[in-house]
Amino acid sequence: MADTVKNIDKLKATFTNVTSEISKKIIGQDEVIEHILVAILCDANALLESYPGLGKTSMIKAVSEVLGLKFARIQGTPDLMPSDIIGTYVIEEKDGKKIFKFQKGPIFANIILMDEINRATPKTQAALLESMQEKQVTVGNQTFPLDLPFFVLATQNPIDQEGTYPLPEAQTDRFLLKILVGYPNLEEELDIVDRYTGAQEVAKLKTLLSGESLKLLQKLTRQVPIANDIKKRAVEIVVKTRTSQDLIEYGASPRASMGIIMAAKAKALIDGRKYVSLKDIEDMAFPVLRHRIVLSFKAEREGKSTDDVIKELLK
Amino acid sequence: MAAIKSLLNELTYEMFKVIVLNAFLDGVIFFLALLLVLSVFGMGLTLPALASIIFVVADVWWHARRISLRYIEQKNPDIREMLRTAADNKEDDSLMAHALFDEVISRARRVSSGTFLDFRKLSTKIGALFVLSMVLVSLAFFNVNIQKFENPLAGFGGTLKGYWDGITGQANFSNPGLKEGDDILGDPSIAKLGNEQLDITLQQNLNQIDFSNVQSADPSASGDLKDYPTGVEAKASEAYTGGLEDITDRKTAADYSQQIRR
Repeated sequence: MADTVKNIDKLKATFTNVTSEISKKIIGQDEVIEHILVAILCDANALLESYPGLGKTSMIKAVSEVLGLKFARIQGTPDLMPSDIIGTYVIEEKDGKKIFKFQKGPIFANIILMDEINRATPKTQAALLESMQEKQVTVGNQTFPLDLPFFVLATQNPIDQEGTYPLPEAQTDRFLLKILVGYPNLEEELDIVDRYTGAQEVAKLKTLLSGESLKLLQKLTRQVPIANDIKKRAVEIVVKTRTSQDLIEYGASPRASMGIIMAAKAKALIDGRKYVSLKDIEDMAFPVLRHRIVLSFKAEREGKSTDDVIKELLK
Repeated sequence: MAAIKSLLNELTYEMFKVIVLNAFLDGVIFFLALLLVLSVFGMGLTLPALASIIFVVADVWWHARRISLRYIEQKNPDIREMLRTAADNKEDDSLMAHALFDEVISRARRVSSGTFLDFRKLSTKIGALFVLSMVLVSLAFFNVNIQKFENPLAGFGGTLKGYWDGITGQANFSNPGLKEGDDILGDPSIAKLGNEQLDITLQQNLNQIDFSNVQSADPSASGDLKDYPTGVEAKASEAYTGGLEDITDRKTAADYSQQIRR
């Protein structure tokens, strides 16, 4: 027990190594990488929102490489069918007999990047969301468990909404975090240009963790202790989204309370702390709540963003 | 978790030590203040001492029952959240909880009584103690007592007046200040040794006292020889013309003067 406890002290170094390894490929975006790791540690899914060309795919690929996870990418299009994701039965001839064999779809991986999820039809979205929730897929009358750990990192584009199927609030609620990927600053962009346009090849990333070690980390994340008053504060923030009717039309569900606490625990673990601090709760309130609340007409008229309203809730 | 419970007990003990120290200082201040007030009325030490002991006990009791984790956290903000989390999860037996307890214990070991001491408050109390002590010493010097008030300047003023009257020749000697039986005159038996009536002629001015005109005691004035005069009486404006040769008992007179010198 004593040795294991001492190993926990090395967790911070582990996460520092992971992020510095990812940053060999991804410049800047430290907070985004941290939030992705938070979602992974919470065994949950995340929705990334960004403009095109900000390196979301590269980032998630890099994360899966460093974490030693199987990666799959699905591009959301209006003609994408559930079977394209889940898989389908194909006829196979064996010993002169024709049999149906299940051909696994790209969802049978550890990290799924669902690019532009809002371009897929609601039926396909629903199939994906079911697998996110149940960690299994059902085809016909047969159920197939998914490879664990399993995460879906879906992306959506805030502009160019024509021909899209925006995710309903009930479905966005299933994503633990909504991560906003912003533009890099001037120095970071110069670095990106240098790294990807030079003669030198981009460094190959080392695998630092594995699926099994990740499962252990997920278990440890749940064990991170939290003080009662800090827990209460998290719940109060979520309850406030339902009572602040002048700013918020629809507040967050109790799933958000659980989400804030879990995300705060994961953040504490990444920071090398063995307890949840109030700052963890406040930091994680933004990505957990921003896709779970619908602003009131008054707030929108005043030009407030969701993050502005969350900031007011935290005061 | 025994370790974290014992740590919390240790921290409580550290706080208790500070409470006792503060209560003691408050008690001494209370004692001195009470003594100051009561000494003006001429009351003794017993009441302030008893009241102060009760005060200290009550103060310790009152603060001891208010010792809480919140106070320890306030004084140690760097371990505030950690400590609270450990206290709230002290029954947790998970790996992370154990790791937290280990860290809390190692960091809390650095917390000593000094952490809980409010040095500004402490120096204020010590200052108050000093001031009260000085006031008490000053009052003792002037012997202020409302019930048995003695004007400390009265004697001083009287001396000046006497000195002035002496200079101007208006001294009033009708009351010499000493009366028969005053302790300062010694045991009356000593005075029985003499049998002379000493009459001193005093002139109007103080510097014109004439001791040369002393005569033998008048037997009729002293009566029986065993009844000696017990006081010396000065009679102004009545001179005595007798000679010193007439003293009948020289030896007795010599013994008498030796005893007086002793």
